Amino acid sequence: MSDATHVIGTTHVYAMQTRFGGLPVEEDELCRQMGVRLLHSIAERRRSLIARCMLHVVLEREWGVPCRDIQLGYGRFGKPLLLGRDAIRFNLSHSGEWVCCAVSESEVGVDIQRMERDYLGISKRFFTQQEHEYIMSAPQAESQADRFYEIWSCKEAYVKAIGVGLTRPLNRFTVTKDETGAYADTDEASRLDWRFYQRRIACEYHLAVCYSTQLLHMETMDYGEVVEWIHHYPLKA
Amino acid sequence: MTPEQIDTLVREVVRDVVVDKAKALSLDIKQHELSDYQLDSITFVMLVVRLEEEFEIEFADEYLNLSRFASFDDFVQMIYSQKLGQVQ
Repeated sequence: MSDATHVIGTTHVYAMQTRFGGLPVEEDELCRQMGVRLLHSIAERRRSLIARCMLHVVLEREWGVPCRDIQLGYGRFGKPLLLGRDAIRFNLSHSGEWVCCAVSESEVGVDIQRMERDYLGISKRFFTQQEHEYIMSAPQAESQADRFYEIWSCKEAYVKAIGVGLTRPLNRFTVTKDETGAYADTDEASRLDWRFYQRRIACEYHLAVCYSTQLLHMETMDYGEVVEWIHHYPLKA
Repeated sequence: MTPEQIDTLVREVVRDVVVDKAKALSLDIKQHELSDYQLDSITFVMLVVRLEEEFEIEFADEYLNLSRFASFDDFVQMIYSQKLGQVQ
């Protein structure tokens, strides 16, 4: 059952480092039952599968939603949502070895991104001038990369929170950071008072959550816990 | 540019941008869907940046959207029609 710590107006973020390796079940079948497409890339498919399983573990253990009641659907622009449970919103993200799951009482978007790309062409082309200047004004290449991924993860979390993904051009809104370190969006089309949580994680990853509740709580999850859950998952024949 | 030339160049850019994440895949860009290539958002926008540089074109806003492209061949078609437009 759901415990009393989940007061109204809280977003919970769970981050987990995975280990690449086989799972203790028939993966194709589990993919089918979890609604994960059978992609050609095994790594990609496994991360998507782990993310879905992580969501099930979290919903079951922390939010009191029994596994049998978890049915996922999709919004107009493809944002996954929980059918029949309007009060619970979630969002998933994965990159490299990390998987993240945000569950909230209000709309939420999460993005985790490994720092691995040459970013300057991207920010020049896809970000607003203000964002690009913020990145370029950092003194060293390393801190420029850090700023790029700060902004990138916030923008991704934002377009995921509003549920439109990349159908909303990234240069139609600006993410700024004020002197207290808080991020905010400048988007005239925005209807909710969005807040951002942004941090670097495990040296080479940036995580951002765009949420609309009063509080945010973050914790890391043990991969073994999810593998254990998968081990006991009643696969239908 | 002919569609064949564009196809070859698109392949090269795709290999460059995407292949490091998908070494195990054969690069039949006409058959596979983009999602088979682990084409996440950041890889997609990087691909757009590189294709714009390579072909001296600019993707219109409505094409800055991963869901507009089902396969890499859609990039070839889009670039071909843009290049055709530049000549005329």
